[in-house]
Amino acid sequence: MKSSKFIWIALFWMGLIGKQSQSDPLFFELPIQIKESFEKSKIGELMEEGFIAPISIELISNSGKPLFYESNVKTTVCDDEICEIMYIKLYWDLVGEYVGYDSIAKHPLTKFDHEPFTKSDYGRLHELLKNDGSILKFKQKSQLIDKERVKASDVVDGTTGATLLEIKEEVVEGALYSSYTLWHLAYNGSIKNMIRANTESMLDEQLISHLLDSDRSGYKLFAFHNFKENDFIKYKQYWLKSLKEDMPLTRKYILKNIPEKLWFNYKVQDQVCGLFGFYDVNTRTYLLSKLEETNDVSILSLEYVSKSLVEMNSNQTSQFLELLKGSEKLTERTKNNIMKASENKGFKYSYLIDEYNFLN
Amino acid sequence: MIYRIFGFLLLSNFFLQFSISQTVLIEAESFDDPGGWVVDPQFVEQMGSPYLMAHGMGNPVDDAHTKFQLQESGDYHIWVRSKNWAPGDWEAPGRFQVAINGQTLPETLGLTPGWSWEYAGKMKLDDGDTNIDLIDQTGFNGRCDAIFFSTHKEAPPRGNSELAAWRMIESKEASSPEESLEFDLVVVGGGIAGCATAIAAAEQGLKVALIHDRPVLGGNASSEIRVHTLGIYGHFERILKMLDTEHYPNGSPEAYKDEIKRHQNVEKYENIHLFTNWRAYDANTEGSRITSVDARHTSEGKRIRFIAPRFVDSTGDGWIGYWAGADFMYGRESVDTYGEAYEEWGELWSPEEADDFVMGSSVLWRTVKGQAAVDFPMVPWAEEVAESHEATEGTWKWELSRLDLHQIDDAEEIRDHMLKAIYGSFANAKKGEGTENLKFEWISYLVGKRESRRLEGDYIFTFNDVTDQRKFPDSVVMEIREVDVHYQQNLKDEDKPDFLSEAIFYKTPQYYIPYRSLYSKNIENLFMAGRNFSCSHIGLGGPRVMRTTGQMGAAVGIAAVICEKYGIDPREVYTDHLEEYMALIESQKNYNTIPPKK
Repeated sequence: MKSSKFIWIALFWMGLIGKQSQSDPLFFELPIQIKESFEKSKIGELMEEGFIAPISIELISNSGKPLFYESNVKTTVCDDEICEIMYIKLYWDLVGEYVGYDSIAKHPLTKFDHEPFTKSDYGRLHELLKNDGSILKFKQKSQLIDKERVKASDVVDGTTGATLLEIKEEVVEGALYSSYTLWHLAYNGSIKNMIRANTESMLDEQLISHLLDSDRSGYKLFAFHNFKENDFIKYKQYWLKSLKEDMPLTRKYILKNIPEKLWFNYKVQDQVCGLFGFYDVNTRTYLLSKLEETNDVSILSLEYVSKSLVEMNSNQTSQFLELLKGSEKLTERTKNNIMKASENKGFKYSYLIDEYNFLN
Repeated sequence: MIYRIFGFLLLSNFFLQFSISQTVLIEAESFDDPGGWVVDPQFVEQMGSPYLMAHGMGNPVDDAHTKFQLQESGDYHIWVRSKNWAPGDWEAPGRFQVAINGQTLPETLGLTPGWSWEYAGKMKLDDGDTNIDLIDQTGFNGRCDAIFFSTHKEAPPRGNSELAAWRMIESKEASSPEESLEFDLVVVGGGIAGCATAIAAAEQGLKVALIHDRPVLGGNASSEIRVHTLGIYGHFERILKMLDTEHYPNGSPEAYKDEIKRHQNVEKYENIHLFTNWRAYDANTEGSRITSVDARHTSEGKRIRFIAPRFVDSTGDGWIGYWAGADFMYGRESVDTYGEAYEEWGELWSPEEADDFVMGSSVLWRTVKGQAAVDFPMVPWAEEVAESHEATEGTWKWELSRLDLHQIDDAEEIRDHMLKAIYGSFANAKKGEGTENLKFEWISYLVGKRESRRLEGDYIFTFNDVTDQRKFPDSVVMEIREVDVHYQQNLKDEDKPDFLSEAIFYKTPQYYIPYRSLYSKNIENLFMAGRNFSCSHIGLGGPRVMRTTGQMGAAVGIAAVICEKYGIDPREVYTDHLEEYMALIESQKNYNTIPPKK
């Protein structure tokens, strides 16, 4: 909702010839109102083929609190013969994910035939830059054009008819090379590494809390990656919340890194296993494997997992039944859950329980 | 021990009961006329046998038919080994019936989760000619492994090991194959790598057996899977041009044209003995050497023992090495195992701790616009996978890897999951506008695998060999293709369908693969060529494509020639004859000999 508001504001300010004055960026996905009073500090430079001069990556902070990163880019966009200069400002969040862009006053984005970007072109460019799986990732610059279809009279970036169909669907029409150049800048590995290293160097209690409180999944994963052992105790409620709600990649990371002294606490096992019903298929398998490797599993944890037995797939069912077989004691509720699963006609793997002959 | 005795007594009692009954076992894959059913031998190692499948893409297929001689009249109980491949609170998708001598048995089959013997009914049968028909009801991948007739009402065993023992007795099969054949080199797997091996070795005069479990050559590049070949030719342009494909979109029927070319080229070598529709099922060893490989015809059931001094594992899944006891790898190594970090991609590229998130398998598919509107049936059993996803064609991104699924052991479940994704996504698309005339043109029923077992060689090729652009004295394969490693989209966003993947590209200049990655470190006479060569998970990311694996094949074929010349094992080509070997590899660029015609 917030981002759509920003997009609306952006569209309002955006004319056919781009921005006229300093204001909110055209596109900016973070819930931050950019102010003149924000501090800027340069964290590094990058020079790559096509740049007119090295570009600076700057950290934007408010009263010392890091907010995001930006860079004013001045780069050439070239085909084999023609080059033009493109001016643009790119934004990344604190962990190096692209979050928006802005045009530079008096330098609206143009296509190769010098036509200015339309309103929808600006929007389409942002959509393209948000897509980390864009087909542009897989292409060399030389693969962008179907050379057999280029006519001598065509202006290069305007030869949309010759742009390979699969690429054409994603890029800004008539701005093939600009789209390509900007996508590879937005996802430039060196910039991302530079940003992450800088954020990591600033990590303190306040910033960790800020990252954990954010609704950006990348922020939380970054925070967990930088946990010291005691942080798992200190921020227990945060990682438990992430286990319940966050992306599978984060869940797996947490489960893998829970310190042993926490994990061997029955109460922690019970809390983690109590969330089993919220987990995706891969996290479930990972947790079952973790339980397999744990010598001392709480019988209450097994009971919690047994509630979800009917939602397990074939291998998980076998894995869990194997786990139960190795457990010295089971609660009555666990036995009851197995019995119910065995009798549940909607449970497609109930026959595995029968094969285990578990209830006898 | 006591359990073994008890188990033996139980099994003996079981077989005794059968021995006093009249019984007949008919393997479905050996039907005289499969009609519209297809023979599926992909999962023999997991469920015990090739089977017939009604792959009608939603349209019931023509009946399969066979005839056999019943020795004695009697009242026969009839069981059918089948499986409900999408169990749940809906009608099973793969339903079918059996008719005996034109009389359809009332029981609907394909209803039980997991492979099992479903009771089809009882019939009074006279001795003599007995006809069986399989009648597909849905066109949605009903499957029949075998049909069993017995005058005694006792279902055959369900468990895999008991079933295998029972099957051998029922079919009166000896423990070893009836026929033995000898060759200079036995190549198992007729993908691009296996074909390239066979050609390279045959051109230098070796008598080669090329064993392949499908009717057509090419593996992932065949018309049955339809992935285009990528990569460069390296030293072997001439050989690989006989085998590769144009750069058509994956799934295109243009694959047929290249397949014809491939067959014509392989078949013109009279010293390549082609065994299509033969699936290897064991490798026999003496010490750390393979003495022979046993294979079975996928529909006729005949068996051959292939004897040779050297063998090539181009099976993709590394089966020959696995059976022979070769060291192998599976899964993603931890980032520190070989130091393969790609910093900005973290866990998605290489995990802190080793896991089984290998690159997944794909099932490609296509639709076509017909002249008139075509309905597509409701597929409630597909909704749990497809959810609201809509699609009218498949791409390489239709791929499945999950922590609970092994790419070999669970390959059937992976294939079936992808079928649900395809049927469900297409059904969703059909509900929208503009899709009225769309219908399926083709869905592969073969799993197109990217990664599974990798056999360990004297050298393990890793990402570092790419980043360092390391050259070796035995560099026999070269490549410029990006290192391209996949991950499932739903790892980053749980709302994404679990059957779609994403790729991470590491762009690179030229890199090289040494010959030492192409033979086993502990099975003395075993080469490998193809995606099961010796590499790390990340190492596989670049050279897993088929022109590169073809280069491996050609390099192995030529190494086999050196081995034959000196009577040596693969390792000694590197230690004792490298100069001669590399000269022969180099000469491939200028090799103009026209191979002999049949």
